Amino acid sequence: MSTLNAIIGYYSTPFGEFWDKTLDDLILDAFNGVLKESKIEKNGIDAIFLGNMLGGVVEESLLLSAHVAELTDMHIPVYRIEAACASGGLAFQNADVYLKSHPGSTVMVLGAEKMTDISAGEITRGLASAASDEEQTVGLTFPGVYALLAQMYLEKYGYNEEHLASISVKNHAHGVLNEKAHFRRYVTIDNVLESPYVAYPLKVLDSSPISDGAAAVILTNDHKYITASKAAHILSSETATDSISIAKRKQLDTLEATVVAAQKAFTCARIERKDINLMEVHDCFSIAEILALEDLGFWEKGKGGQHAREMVTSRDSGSNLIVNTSGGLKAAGHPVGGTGIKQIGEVYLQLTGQAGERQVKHHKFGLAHNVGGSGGVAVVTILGV
Amino acid sequence: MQSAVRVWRKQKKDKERLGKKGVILSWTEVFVSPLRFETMTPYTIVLVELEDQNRVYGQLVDFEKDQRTIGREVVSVFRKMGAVGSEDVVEYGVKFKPHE
Repeated sequence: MSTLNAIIGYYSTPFGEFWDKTLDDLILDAFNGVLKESKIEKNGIDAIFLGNMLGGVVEESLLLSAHVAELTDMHIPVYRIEAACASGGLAFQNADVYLKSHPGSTVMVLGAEKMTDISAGEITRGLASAASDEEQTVGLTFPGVYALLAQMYLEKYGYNEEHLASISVKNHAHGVLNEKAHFRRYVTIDNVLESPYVAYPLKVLDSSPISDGAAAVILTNDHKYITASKAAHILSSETATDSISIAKRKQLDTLEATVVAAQKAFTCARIERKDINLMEVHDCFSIAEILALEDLGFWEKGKGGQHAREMVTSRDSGSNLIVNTSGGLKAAGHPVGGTGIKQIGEVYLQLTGQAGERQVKHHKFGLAHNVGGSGGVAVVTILGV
Repeated sequence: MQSAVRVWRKQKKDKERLGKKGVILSWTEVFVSPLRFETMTPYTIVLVELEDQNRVYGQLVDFEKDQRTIGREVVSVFRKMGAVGSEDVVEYGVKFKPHE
């Protein structure tokens, strides 16, 4: 494993609604937090990869690289990566590639999003910019696009809204144990079914919230840092793409970008699905977690609704595959650019035994799955200790 | 944004899509919408496969709730889209109604 890049530290701000914090404040909190956790001086960082989607919409802030330079008083390269909800995951994937051509280097990957400063209608329009022009023109929203996928899935495989609701129930139960989570409360199937519709058949409690937050990891291939720290190796971090309109895709019950990214990630990591015991998957809506487990190759296509209802990936299930110990996007919150880093950070904490109250049994391998838009970009990262 | 040029460009394509028959592949009813569509909520959107195999989105209009099903035949019609935007362009476009 000596040639692999490694994660040596992680920090996340709490996720939630923070009226006293700007995007810059959140970035700086994550920057300082991860340096402290990793016991690294800022001068030890050679480059920063920043995942952010909506800075230009919510705060009318672009050229975020220069924001980071001002905040940190540094002149190192800062690469801002935008891939909607996969901005964080894709920033991480880019950092992994960067390190492969920069031996003896150390970089920070930071994902951040400020979302709660604008109205529901404005943020809905901002998020809808990750849908195609045709989708936006007719009034389709981001939840609306996932609702089309959900409706098709339920009809094709004979499931109902209770099967979807089970995902939220499980992830909220996991989120109770996460001190950084946006929501730390249990919900029942009835709570989910009684919550108002956002886009039929998806309801408020099928949907991840609008959150502020930031998260950061330190990646290195410098041996002096790896040996001195609690490290998890990056066995693979792979990305794939698909058409922005779901109308242009051959299959409506599959996110092909996830299928392709997962195939590449498992080939590169040289491990099997059965070796993975712990995953963070992209549950922006309840249907998305069901599709993710199928498209990543863990569940047979069409069986996901049944497995979801049985809550086979719950930490209390006793099974050998636990999904979304952080609470997922649903309960931990979904500050869009921060999510991909939080997912990887959660897997890192679990694999290195630093997950505190929500620590599951120690495992060797974990996976993080981050999706942009309705499957236009997917990133699959496999870590090992 | 709803610039006049953008609407003009889109409408050149719209005329090829009028009077077309197709079937509903999936549908949703949108309750939380972008500002421009807020006066219409809740509204139903269908993803339709046309007879020429093209797949297009549109709002479903003039329907009874039991007609809103996957596999139902629909036909495209010309209707007003959202509320008037910043450049005061009243935008028309393609919607669908059940094929009787």
